[in-house]
Amino acid sequence: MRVLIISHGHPMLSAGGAERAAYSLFEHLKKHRAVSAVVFAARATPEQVGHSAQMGLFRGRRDEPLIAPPPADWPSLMSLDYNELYKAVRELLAWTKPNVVHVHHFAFWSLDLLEILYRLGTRVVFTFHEYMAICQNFGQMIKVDRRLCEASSPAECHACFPDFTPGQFFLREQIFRSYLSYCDFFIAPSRFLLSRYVSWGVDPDVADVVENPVSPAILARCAALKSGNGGRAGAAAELQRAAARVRIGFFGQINKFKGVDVLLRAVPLMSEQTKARLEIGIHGANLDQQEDAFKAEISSLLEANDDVITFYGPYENHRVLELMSSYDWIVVPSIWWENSPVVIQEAHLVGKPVLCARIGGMAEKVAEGHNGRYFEPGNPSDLARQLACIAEETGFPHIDVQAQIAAHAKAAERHIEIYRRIARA
Amino acid sequence: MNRAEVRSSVDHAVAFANSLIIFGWSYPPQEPQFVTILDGRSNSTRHRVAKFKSFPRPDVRQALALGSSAADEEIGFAAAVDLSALLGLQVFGSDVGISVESNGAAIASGTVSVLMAPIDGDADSSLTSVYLTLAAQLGLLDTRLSELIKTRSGADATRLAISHAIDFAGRSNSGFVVEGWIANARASAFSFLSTDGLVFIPPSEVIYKARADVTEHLRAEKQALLTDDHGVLLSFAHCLTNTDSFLVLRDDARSLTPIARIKVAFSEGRDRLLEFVSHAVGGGKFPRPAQAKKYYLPFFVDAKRAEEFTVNWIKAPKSEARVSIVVPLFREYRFIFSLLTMQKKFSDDYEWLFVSDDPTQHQILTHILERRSYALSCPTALIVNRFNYGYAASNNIGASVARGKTLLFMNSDVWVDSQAAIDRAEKIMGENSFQIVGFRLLYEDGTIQHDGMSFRHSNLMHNLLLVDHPRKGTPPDDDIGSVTEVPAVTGALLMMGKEYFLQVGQFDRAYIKGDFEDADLCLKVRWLGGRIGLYKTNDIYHLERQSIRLMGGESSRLALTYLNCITFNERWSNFILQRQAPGHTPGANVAQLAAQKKVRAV
Repeated sequence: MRVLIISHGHPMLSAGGAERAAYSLFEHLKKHRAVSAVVFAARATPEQVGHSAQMGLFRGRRDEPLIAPPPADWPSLMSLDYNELYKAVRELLAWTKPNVVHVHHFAFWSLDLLEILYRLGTRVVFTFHEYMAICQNFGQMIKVDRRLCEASSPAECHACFPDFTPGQFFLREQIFRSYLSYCDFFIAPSRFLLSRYVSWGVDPDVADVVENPVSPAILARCAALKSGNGGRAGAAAELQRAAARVRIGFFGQINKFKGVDVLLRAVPLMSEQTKARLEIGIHGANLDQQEDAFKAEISSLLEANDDVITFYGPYENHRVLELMSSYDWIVVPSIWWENSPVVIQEAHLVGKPVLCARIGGMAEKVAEGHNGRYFEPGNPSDLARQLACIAEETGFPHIDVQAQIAAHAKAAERHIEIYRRIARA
Repeated sequence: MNRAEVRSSVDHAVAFANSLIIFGWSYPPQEPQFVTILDGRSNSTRHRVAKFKSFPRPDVRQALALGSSAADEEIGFAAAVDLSALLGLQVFGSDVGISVESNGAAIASGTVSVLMAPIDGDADSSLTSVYLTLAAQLGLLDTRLSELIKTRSGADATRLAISHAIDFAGRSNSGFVVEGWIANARASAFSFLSTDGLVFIPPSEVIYKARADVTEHLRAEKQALLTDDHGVLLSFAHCLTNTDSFLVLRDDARSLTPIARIKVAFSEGRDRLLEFVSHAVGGGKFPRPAQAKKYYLPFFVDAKRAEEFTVNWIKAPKSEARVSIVVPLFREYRFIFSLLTMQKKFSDDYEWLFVSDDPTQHQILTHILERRSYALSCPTALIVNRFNYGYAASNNIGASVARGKTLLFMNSDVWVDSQAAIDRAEKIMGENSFQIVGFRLLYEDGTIQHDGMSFRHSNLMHNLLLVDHPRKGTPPDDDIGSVTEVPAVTGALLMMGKEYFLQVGQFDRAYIKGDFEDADLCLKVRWLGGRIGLYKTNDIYHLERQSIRLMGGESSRLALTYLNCITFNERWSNFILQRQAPGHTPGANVAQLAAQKKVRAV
């Protein structure tokens, strides 16, 4: 079986969870005997392609083409040069000859990508990574005033984006529905995400929940780390702290959806006794790319709470396991629903329990009392209460790392089963 | 030219004081009823003759050697057409073709340069004076006005001897509006004349307002006080574009005496101006229809232009089309994306004709369509209008290009979920039960946007008949698949045979910027005995007013609707209320068809 994976970015060129998930799957498939050939085609800017052609190769790797598609209209996400896109996709398919194409996002590519693949006679599997088809607010299903959104409707979406009429939202939905209908099968990495899409209109008979497997290399390293039960083996030298303090780690982008501000606001609400028991490390990138008001707010909160919190800035993905191993708990305070956060997968793979908001994909991936705890989303007071409980606990939840590793290997297998079924159909 | 071979002629035309007076002759003499004008931009428009007089033309009789039969003596004619009816036409500064009609047949025609009588002018003055004097003698013009021109007595009037002030002046598309005050204006019964001579406002047409502040001012100045109505609102609706002054005339029984010449400075902002005019004319309500036409129309009538367009087939037609879908596009080009997405739901015997009616969008639409040519699943053309012609003309242009036997007029903000309903409607058309088939349309929330139209009186609009949308906003029934007869249907999605559409005279351009044309078309069909059907489906959506809302502010939209409503009522209120003939013939073709009964009831 020949598989083509199409991603909206290459993880070496843009650090998003969806790109990483697509690439990890690619690495699994490369090792699988049922797959005779697999190609990872990533959207790139013309500068990243590096020459005058629309297509090139990442680091000269023949199975990792980079493609610079023409721009797409916003918010319809329809290509502004369908003909050029058609030509590029046709040439990509002629070269890779896939039995199945697995599209991990239409962002940057445009929705036309799905129709072109259908038109060229390939089978298409599509993975949802967020709620982009449902929500114009970056696909987060969170209102512009940060309230959680349960379902979209033209009138409610217009309330979030007054410059767009309800009718335009209606048409946006029709366009997305029309183009998603060109896919043969949908994969959602969480039941929660799938339920939202089924409520929106996706046929549950052609959709399933399959976790994004993390890369085989990471799984191998997790097995080697042998961490778990709150141990700190392999911790980075710069993160050594007094053993008496419980260490809480935040890993992720610093933006208005990831809830780092909720975490920072929780600290002043804690008692001095709790503060003395806790040490919080924040590892995250892209603060510099945020709006000025948000940057100023975060900087101010970091400065005000530097007795408990240390801001380490960006981190290299390949170091995340070691960094996480140095913590006792990982906190995921996102204010949006999330899907299946990579950070939760990674935390569990190094045996760390997760403290997360009690919503969406986070709540689904964390079992309270088993491999983590919940707090009320966007609520610093409740987060402070939960942190106080953690500070007073003497032990940490046990997480079966081997079972986690096996689950990821199984997820890769499950992808291949779906490809087989779709290719036969 | 050997005049003996010619049996008629249009010799001259003079534009003055609200009228275009056309002079000519025909033998045998006949009564001029309509005038068709071919203007400097090749627009051909037909106008009712407001007044006419015949008079002797001994010169013609002699040239034609007609003898001296007393019955045929008055072969000359002077026919007056309201200048306000010529808004938007180019009739000054270039040759104009004029054809005079009686009982449906041309009785005289000719090409003339329209004479004018500006207060400061001297060109053609003797010829103009001759014809103005003749018009006055024939009773087509106030004698006092012809005397005013003859004596040029207004040219030197520079200062008003009594207190006055101009508070506000603004240009409309074809003239200007002035608001201010003149001491004791109503009691003094002034008349007004634009200095280009084209607009005359008698006291009866001045809108007066009580101005207590002015009364106080005059009292403080110890001036005579005859009234509180010092405020005046004047509409010089159809002037030359560079006219910026007018005469104030003292009006008595024997003469019109210029007592001042006032030059105005114009303010900007059409919406603000319209709000101002609405308030001044209507006092917060809509002004009466006659006043509304006088004061609103100049703001909306753009320069009329003959229809010029180019057709660019993006995906060429392969064979004969079954249905031609005509979609005018205005302002919001992004609808093209939903339209192209929808196109994939249709079979390739439908052809899609996108009519770009907004020159600012031509380039982006061409760019998008040409770069999506591979994606098109049906024959598709982009028709590019040279200028913005409006909804009616754009649909008519699309229909003229259409190759299908059936036309489907579709607004750009319509979403059709399935071709099935359209196919079914086409079958119904083919069975000849209905001459027009419309569709139930839903809003984005699934409630009814359109379920047929009816007509009701509106208190807000001086009891005129408005188009009503029954059940709008309520959930639809499950009666899908049925067809019912209704008074009218919306043009947002309207199906009609192409041949029949052309026969009944297409969408009428008398309405401005897209309103009432659909109801007008339906009533034309019903007047001719046809039936209007509504196909009940719950698969079609109309995101109403997504493009019209881009046309301007609330004042503009309301004024525009009202103006179109007035035009609609002038034509159809009698027919709707009493099933009588329309108040105004809705086009020569239709009148002829009705007379000949070529189009008949089924």
